[in-house]
Amino acid sequence: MYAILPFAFILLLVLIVFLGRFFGKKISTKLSLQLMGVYGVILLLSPFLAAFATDPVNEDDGITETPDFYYQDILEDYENYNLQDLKNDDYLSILKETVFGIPTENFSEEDPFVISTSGLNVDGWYDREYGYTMIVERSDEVEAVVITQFQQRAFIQGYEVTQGFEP
Amino acid sequence: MNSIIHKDSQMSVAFEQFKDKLYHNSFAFFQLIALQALGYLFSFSSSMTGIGDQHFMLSIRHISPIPLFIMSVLWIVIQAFGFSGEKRREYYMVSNNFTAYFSDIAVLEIYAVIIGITMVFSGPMLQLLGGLALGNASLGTTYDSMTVLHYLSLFITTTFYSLLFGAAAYFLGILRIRYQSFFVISSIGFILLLIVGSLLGVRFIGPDFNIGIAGVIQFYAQESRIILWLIKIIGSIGALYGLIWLGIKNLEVNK
Repeated sequence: MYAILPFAFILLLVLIVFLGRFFGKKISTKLSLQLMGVYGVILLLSPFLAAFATDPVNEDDGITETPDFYYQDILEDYENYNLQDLKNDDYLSILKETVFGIPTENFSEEDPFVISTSGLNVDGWYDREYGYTMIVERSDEVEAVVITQFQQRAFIQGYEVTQGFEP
Repeated sequence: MNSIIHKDSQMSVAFEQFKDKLYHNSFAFFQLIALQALGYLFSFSSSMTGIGDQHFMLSIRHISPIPLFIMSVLWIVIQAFGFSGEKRREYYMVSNNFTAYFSDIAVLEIYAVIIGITMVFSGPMLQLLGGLALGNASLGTTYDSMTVLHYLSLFITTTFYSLLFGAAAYFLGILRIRYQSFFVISSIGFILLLIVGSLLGVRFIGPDFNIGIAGVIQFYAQESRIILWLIKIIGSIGALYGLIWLGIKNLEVNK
């Protein structure tokens, strides 16, 4: 991309010199100096205009933004949460629930049923290291394993952008 | 040598010429406004990344003033080529090579300072234009966190870089005036020499050998020590001024 820069530079140079030959006489000295004065005033005023004329960002739109690193607090304190708490949490949204049927073979201590992120077939991807953490609940009568993926809701200036981010 | 007509010293004649050039070359200011408007336009279309689906679109634009600075450099290069042209020196009755040299370089320095000032105010200007042009955008600007020292360094770097480009363009213009058709032949020869040199360098030294614009830019831009950077840039500008003076010293103006 940078290889094109010198050619564009030379092209613009030729263009400007060419235009200057034709229009240089028509624009008087006084007009040029007046235009430069106007441009200088606009430049000098631009900090004040940028500070006062542009709209300030509304901080309070009735939407509480998610605290930074909120999910980390949950992960550190995961023992005090159960799945229903997480589902009711306003700051988290359910991304996906994946159900895995348990094979019918019996398990023993020598041959346990291992749930691991690596080797799982999620969305057709095998052996992929996932960046998110799974919190798995188990009860005595296990019929299927449900992996529930949560996502921290994200807001930018009051607009919810959670769906825009694919983890 | 004093002027016969005005009985003035060379320096005062040069100063008069400087003021006169600054005034009569005021079409340059019109060119500056036009080129910087183009530069602001290019700044807004510089780069954009976006994510989203059919319901929602989030796009992030990086607005940087570098295209603006490139256009400003283009402006000072045009002015330097113009000043080194032969026609402008015929206009003055009491001109000699020293006064022409001195006044041209002084005008180019003033132009470089003007570029520095406009670049200092480019941040709020970009913010203002962004607020006007991009409707529902939230502008996160790094200019808010800039201190006086940052603005000072922005001013000094842009001024010195544009001075360097202006001096280089003026030097090339003087060479063009001095060695008219030989300049074209020798520049083609220089380009061929660079190509052959880079081919031979790659053949004998290795693939790491590289001649390019990027290396020259790195020599100035990738320097974190202030004093060394100042020595580099002022040394380069001084060397270019010396070369210009050698080229212009015994130049036949009116053939």
